[in-house]
Amino acid sequence: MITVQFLPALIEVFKLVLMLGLGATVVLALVHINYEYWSRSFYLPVMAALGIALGSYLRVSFRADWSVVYFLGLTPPAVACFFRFALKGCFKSPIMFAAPAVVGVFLLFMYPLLFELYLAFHGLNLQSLGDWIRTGDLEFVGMRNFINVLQAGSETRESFWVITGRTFLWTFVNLFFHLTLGLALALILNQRIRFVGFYRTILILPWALPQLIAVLAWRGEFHSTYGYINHLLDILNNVFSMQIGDVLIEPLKWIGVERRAWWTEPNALFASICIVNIWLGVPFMMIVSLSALQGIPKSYYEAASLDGASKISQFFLITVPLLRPVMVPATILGMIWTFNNVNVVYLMTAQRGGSQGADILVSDLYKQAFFYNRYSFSAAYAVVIFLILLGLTAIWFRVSKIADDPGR
Amino acid sequence: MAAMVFLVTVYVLGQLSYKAYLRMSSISKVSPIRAILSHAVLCIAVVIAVFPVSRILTISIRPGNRLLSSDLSMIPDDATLDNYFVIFSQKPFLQWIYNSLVITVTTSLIGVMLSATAAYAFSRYRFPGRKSGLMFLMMTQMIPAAMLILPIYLILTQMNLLNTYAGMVIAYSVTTLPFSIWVLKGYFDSVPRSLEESARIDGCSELGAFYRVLLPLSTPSLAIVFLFNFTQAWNEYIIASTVIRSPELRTWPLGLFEFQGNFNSEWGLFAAGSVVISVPVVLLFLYSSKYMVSGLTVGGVKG
Repeated sequence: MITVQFLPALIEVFKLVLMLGLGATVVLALVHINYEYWSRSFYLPVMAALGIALGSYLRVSFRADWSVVYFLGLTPPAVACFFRFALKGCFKSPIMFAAPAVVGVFLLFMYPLLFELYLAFHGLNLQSLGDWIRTGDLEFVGMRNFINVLQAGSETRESFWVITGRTFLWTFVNLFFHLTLGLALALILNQRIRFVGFYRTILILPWALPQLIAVLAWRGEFHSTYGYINHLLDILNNVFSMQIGDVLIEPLKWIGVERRAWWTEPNALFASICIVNIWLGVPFMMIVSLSALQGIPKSYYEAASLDGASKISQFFLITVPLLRPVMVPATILGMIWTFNNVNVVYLMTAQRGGSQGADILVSDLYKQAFFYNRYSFSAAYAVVIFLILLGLTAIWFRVSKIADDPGR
Repeated sequence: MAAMVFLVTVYVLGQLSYKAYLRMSSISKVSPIRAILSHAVLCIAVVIAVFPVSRILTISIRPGNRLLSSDLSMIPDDATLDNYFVIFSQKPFLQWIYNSLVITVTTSLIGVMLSATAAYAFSRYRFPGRKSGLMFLMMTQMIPAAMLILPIYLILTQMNLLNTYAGMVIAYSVTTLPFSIWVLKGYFDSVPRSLEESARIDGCSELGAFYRVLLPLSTPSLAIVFLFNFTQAWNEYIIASTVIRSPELRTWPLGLFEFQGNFNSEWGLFAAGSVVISVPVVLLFLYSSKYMVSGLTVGGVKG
């Protein structure tokens, strides 16, 4: 009989609360001290000296990275300038209220990003990891990591361009089916028929289920011998086949619908991941478009039909334009979401490592970092992906502005 | 990113329930043929949506000696509940759930506390750095999680925080913090300022006005933020798998993943565990989606 150990988790949480409490106290105390002394003449020089002292202390006694040293060393002077020239002793309570959260978010997003940038130009791998932890020194390698990323692939790594192409294909395919299927279901659900509430509840299910469980369940169904999918394909082929003399005609096989080794065939694997992700993503688009549809006043359609517009032209002239303001942001959101989807791809491909010809950028990044331990390489990789994403985000902002303006 | 998806969703779900009565009164009846066709399509969609779930239910009640059968029937003839007994009596399943609960509740509480105070500052005061602070919070949502895992992992390694909850919980609550702040700020904006001002006149301190007047008024949105943090942390797998090593600290996704790894022997256990985990989560999702609405739509998330 297995018993539950209550203590280890609680001790962890206790330590954590202690750490956080200490952190918050330090942050609040620092804010308070800054408010006390911001106007004194020695304030700026002392803070600058503090920055230098902190940096060199960390460097000398902890052998911290240069990234840490610069980051923490430059913080006090920057904070001092903010207090001296922007706040000028006012706004004490809002700063006190906002400080813990904002400082936490700032440290946890900015520091890793800067650290990643630092790593990208240095050589950290499994061999140099031990040295780095002991001494904090890393070899500067310049652009070598970036060149490695963009180079043709090797046995354990596909070519960057292949993966990028596949990522865009993945994003496009998923988004296309999310949109079309979601919109179609929403149009059907938007009619006056029975059990709409029931259908809607059931159709949200893929979204409500914990993703890990849903994806692993699908993966099991794609098993080549014991999974349901291959059985289903066999049955379909049996139903649609004809025996003419000795010749067995199976028309479905001509278009590629037949039993496959989903786990090992790269293209089949990629197709299966797409199917799973489409299954996961349709409910979201369905709900979004359903709400947009229900926001369209019925009188528009009545007026249009009085004027003699057909159902089809009603759809394209009323429904589509009025759906736009809701659907454009949702689509772009879905695009970035799909692009960044490491969970589904990672869980569906061989999780214990190995590129199986079905990885997208982010899942490949994860595998390079944690199965092949190419730390600096993955850091450079991440920077490249980040640049791609920055482009996508810029497009997002532009389009969402366009989508926002006319309606509101 | 998930945060924004969630935001849109909750908003939309609100619209749905609000407009339910409008639908019934204004939409004309469809012709019988169209209705039958619609029902047919919807039934197919329902079958597809339910398919993996039904398979998991089937596998979880199969006896252990024929886990990998190619039997396709919904309820096997020799159905048993053995798998459920095994996960509770021979596997540390309860331990995983307990660990997950501890982490999740801590994360959510920390998230709510930090985001409420920050949102209060952003909503009620105008100060230098307010706009850029809000913008910065928004921008963090565009950064993919996969990018942050490696640096966080290396930093935790260097700080000797691997295999502790500290790193994990901080990572969870901080990644959801920006979204929570935005939601709460939107809600606080909709609460009239005069309530706090009159409290101040009656002798309440600034902190007291926030704690005694504003917070009780915004319980619905605090509940949303709590639930959002809760689901995020509850379902998280990737960060947990890189940070946690020792078995007694595992969360349920790690444990279930372990079952699934031994595909041959423990597939039934995975299925049984999944059923036990999913039922409350799915019910909570379907139930809370109605209630989350009031909190978000009232606030006007636009900010």
